[in-house]
Amino acid sequence: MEILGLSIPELARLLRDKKISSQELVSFYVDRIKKHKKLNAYITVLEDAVEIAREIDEKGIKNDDYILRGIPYSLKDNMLVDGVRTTCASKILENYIASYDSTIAKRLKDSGAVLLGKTNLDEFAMGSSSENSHFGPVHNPWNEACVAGGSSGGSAVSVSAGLAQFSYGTDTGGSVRLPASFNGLACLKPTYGRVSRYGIVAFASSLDQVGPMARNVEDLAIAYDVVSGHDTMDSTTSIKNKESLYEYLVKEIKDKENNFTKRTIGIPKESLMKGASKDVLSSLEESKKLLSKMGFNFVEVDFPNLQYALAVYYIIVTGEASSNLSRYDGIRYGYRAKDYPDLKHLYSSSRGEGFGDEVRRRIMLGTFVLSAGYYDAYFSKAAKVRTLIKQDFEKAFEKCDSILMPVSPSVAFKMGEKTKDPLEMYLSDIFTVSVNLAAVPSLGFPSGTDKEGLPIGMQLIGKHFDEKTLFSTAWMIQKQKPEWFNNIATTAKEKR
Amino acid sequence: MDSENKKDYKAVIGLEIHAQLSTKSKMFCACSTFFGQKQNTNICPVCSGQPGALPSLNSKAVEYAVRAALAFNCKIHKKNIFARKNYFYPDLPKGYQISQYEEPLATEGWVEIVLKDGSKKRIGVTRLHMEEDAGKNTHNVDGSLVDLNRSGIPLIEIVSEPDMRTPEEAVSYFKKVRTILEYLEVCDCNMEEGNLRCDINVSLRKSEKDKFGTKVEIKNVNSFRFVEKTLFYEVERQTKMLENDETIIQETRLFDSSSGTTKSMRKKEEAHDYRYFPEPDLLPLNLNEAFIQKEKDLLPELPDIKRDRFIKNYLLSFYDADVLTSDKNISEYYESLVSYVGEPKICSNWMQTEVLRVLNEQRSDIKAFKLDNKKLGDLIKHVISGDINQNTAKDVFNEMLSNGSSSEDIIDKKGLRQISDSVAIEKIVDDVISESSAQVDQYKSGKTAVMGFLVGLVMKKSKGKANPTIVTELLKKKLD
Amino acid sequence: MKKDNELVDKIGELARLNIEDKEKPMFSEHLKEILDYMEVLNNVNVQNVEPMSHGCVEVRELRPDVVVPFDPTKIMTVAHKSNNNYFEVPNIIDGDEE
Repeated sequence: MEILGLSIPELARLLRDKKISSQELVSFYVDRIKKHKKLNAYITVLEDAVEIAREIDEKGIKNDDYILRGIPYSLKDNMLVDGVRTTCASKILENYIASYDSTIAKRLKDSGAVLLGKTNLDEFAMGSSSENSHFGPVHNPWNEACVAGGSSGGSAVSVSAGLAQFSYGTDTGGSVRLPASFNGLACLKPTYGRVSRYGIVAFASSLDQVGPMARNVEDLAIAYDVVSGHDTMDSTTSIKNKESLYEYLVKEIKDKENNFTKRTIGIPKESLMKGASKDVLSSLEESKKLLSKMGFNFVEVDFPNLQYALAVYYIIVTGEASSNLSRYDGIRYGYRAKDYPDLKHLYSSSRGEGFGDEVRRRIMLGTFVLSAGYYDAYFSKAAKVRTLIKQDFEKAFEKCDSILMPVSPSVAFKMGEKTKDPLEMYLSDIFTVSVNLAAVPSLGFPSGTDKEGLPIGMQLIGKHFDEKTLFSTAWMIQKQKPEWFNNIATTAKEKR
Repeated sequence: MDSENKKDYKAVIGLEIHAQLSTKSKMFCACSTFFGQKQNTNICPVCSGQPGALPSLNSKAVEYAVRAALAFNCKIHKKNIFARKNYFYPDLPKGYQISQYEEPLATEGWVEIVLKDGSKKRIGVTRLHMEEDAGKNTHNVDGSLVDLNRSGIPLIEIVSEPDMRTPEEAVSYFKKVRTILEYLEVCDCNMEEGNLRCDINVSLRKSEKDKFGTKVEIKNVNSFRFVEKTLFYEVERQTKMLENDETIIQETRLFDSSSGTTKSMRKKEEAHDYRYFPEPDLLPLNLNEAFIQKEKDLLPELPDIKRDRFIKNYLLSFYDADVLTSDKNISEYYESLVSYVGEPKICSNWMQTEVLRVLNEQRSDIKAFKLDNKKLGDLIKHVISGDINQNTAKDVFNEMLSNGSSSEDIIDKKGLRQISDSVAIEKIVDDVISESSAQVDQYKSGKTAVMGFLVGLVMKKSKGKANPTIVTELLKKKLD
Repeated sequence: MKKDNELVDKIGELARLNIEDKEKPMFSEHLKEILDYMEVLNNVNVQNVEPMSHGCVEVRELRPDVVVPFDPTKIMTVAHKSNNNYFEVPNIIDGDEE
C-alpha cells in the first residue's frame, strides 16, 4: 500500500476500515525518520509514539471519531509539549524539558493525532534557511546540497520527505511559507489571532503565528481546523466565529464548484517583484494563466510602502525579540555558564555562550532600536510605517479578494551561499514580511519546479479572517493541477 | 551650623507609592496571591517566565485600579495600554516588568492632607497606573535566593507631584493614601507584609522661585516613622553638602534603620535605560462608561467626607474626628457604639483613651477586638447613669477584656456600684474633715489645691466607690 | 573601528550578552550594514499616522479573578541551581540591577 501518497481523509478511511492500523502507520513513519536521519529534519523523536498509536488501536477508531485520530504529525521545536524536550535549536535550551503543553499541542493530543517528534529550525526561529541550528542544518530532500528554507525547515522537510503526514511551523516573516515553497508543500500563515501562541516560544509577539504544512489542501484544512480558534490563555487570539474549513471545502465547494463565484485576484506591480528570478516569474505567469482559465479576474495592485517593509520588519522583529529573549539567563532553567565571578557575568556568559551568532546579532539590533535616543527614530517610526503597509493592503483589497505573488525571489539556494552576509539572508524575506506586518493571512501552494526539480511556491494573500477565500481558491487550483501536490522528495539512496 | 543658613534650603518632596491589590489571583496568571506560603509554591509558567508563556489580564485588578483612581480624583483614560519595562534582575523572571508607560490608566488626581496647624493642602497625583510585582530576593553568605511567589501580584503605582515641602507633609500624605486604599478595600495595607511600599524623591532649593535641585531617590521606605526619619536625615545631608559647595549627585539611596542614615546604592555608570515599548501580548484596554460608573457606585464614603460628617453630626473636634476616621473599621465601630449609647463625645473619648490604646498595645485590629458595641456600650451607659465612676469603669473594662464577662456581672459581683447617696457620702466626708484638721485649716486659709487631697481621702475611705462629683460638692459646701 | 566596537560594547552590556573580542569586528560590521539599510525609513512621512503595536485588536472580556493551581515542582525541577526550593544566584549587591 502506498501510504505516502494518501491524504488524511483517505488514511482515516483505511483506519476505520481496519485496512491499516495506527501502529503500522506510525511505525512506517518512525522507520523512515531513522532512514533519512541525514536530512536532519528532527531534533527529538518521541520514543513512545508507536506505543501511543498502539493504545489508540486498542481503544479502536470509530467512524465518528475525529478525523485525525491515529494520524502522525510533527511539531517545530519551538512549540512546548509537556514533559518533552524543547530546544528551539539552541544551546541555551539544549536540555530544557517543557513543564506544560502549548495550547495547540493540547488540541492535537485531544484530537487523537500522534506526535512523532520535534523538528529542527533556525535557532529561536531566526533565519530563512534552517542553517542557524545548534544541532546542524536541515537538508533539502529535493537536493541535499541546498537549504530547506527557514526557519521552519525541519517541519517542511518532515512532510516533503515523507517523515510525517503533516506538520506545524511558526511564521513571523515567512518562516512557514518559505520552507514550504522550497519543499513543494501547501501551507498557511493564518490571520494574526487565529491560532493560539500560548506555549509557542515567542520570537516577535505581534507577528508570530503558528501555521500548518501539508502535501495537499484538504490535509492543510484539517490541520488548520484542529488548532485554530480563541484561547483564553492567549489574549491576542480572536473571538471571531470560526467554522470548519475542511467541511466547507468538501461539502459546499464540491457542490458549487462550477458555480463558484469567480473572484478578482490582485497581482502586484511588476516593479515590486524585480528581485525575483526568471523561473519564479514564469511560475507566477503559469499560475496566473491557470486561474484565468478557471474564470478569475485580475487587477494590478500597488504597494507604495512595500519598499520599506524589510526595514520595518527587521526593526520591529528584533526589538520585540530582544525583549522576549531576556528571560533566557540560566537562572530558572536552561544553560548556565560554568564560570562566573558575579551576577552580571552569570547573565552575560550564559547568554553569550548559549546563543548563536544570528540570535546575538538580532538581540543587539533589537536592543539598539529600543534604546534611549533611538526608540523614536527606529522602533516607533517603524510601527507607524507598519500602519502604512497595513493600509496598502486595505486599499488593495478594495479592488480584489486576494493577492497572488511569489513566496520567494528564488528556489532553494545552496548551503552556505548566504551565511556570510546577514543582510543578504534577510532579503530572502522580501515577499513575505509585509503579510505578517499587516497581520493578514496567506496560503502558500506549490506551483511546479524549476529545471533542476527544485520546487517553486506561490502565495495567496487574503483579507483579515478570510481564510475561506484562500482555501477555496487553493482547492480549485489543486483540482486543476494535482501534479503540483502530494509529491514526496526522493533521495538518492531511497528505493521506491 | 548657622541655623539661618539652614533655613535657606527648602525641600521639595515627591512620593511613589506601590500598593498590592488584594485580588485572589495574580495580575497576569491564575496563581494564588496568598501571603506567607513556602517559597516558589504559588508559581506557574507565566509568572516564572517559562518559554512560551503569555499574560492574561485579571479583571478584578482593573476594577480595583479604576476604583482607586476615582478615589484619588484622577482623570481616567478609557483607552490605556500596557508597556514592557526591560531590565535584568533575578527577581524579574521575564527580564521585563509589564507596567504602563506612555498611556497609563489615570493621571492628574489629588489628595487632601491636613497639617498639625489645621491648614489643608492638596497634594497632586501625577499618575496612577497598573503593573505587576517582582519576586523577592533574600541574601545569605553564599549567594542570593529568589522566591517568585510575589512575582506577578497586581500593583498600582501612585506617583505624587513634587508638592510636599516638609517631612510632616510627606507622612501625612502617605497616611492619607493608605487610609483611602484601606477604605476602598482594594489593598490590605499591611506594610509588614509588603502590601504598601514607598519610594521618596527629595531635592533642595533656596526658594520657591528657583527651579528644582538635583533629585535623590530613596527606595523602599516602608513605615511612616522611617519616612520621617529618612527625610530629616536626607535634608540635613544635602544641606550640609550644599553649604560646602558640593554637588548633589542624582542617585538612588537606601535608608538604613540601624544607623538612621541613608546610604548610596552602588553607583551606576549610566541612567537606567528601560527600553519601554507597548506590550504586544496584551490588547489595549478600552474601558466603557458603564464600567467606570460601576466603580463609582462601589466607592464607599471616603475618609475626608466621613470626617467632616462626624464633625458636623457628632460635634467632634477636628482632631477627634480625624483619629476616628483614619481607619474605616474603627469609624464603623465608633458609629455603631454611638448608635447604641448616644453621647458621641463620651464615646469618642472611650475610643481614643481605652479602645485604641488596647489595640496599639496588642498590635491588633478592631476586627479582633473582644468587645462588640453593645458590651462596651453597656459599660459606658453605667458610667453615664452614675452607677460607677470613670476610674472604676477603666478597671471593669480591663477585666471584661481578660475574662469576657459583661460589665453588669463584674459590677454586681464585685459590688462596685458607686455610692451616690448624699447621706452616706456625707458621713464619710464628715469623718475625713474631723480627721484632717491640718489640711482643712490650710484649705480655709486659701490653699484651694488641698481640695484634691481631701477628695482623695474620701475616695480612699469609700474604697473608690463614692461619686467624686458629690464628694467635691459636699466638701466645698462644708468648708467654704 | 574603535568607535564601532563601542557600540557593540554598549549594547552587549545593555543586553547582557558577552561578545568575545575577536567577534567584535564582525558584529560591528554587520550591525553597521544593517542599520545603514534601515536609513531608507528616513524618506517616509509618518505625520499623523498611528503606530501599529498589536497584531489584532478586539475588545474582549477579561479573565475572572479565580485561582487555578499549577504544580510548582514541574518548574523547580528544571531549575539549574536551587537551594531549599529557592532559585540560587551569586550574591546580589544592592544596586546591581541593570
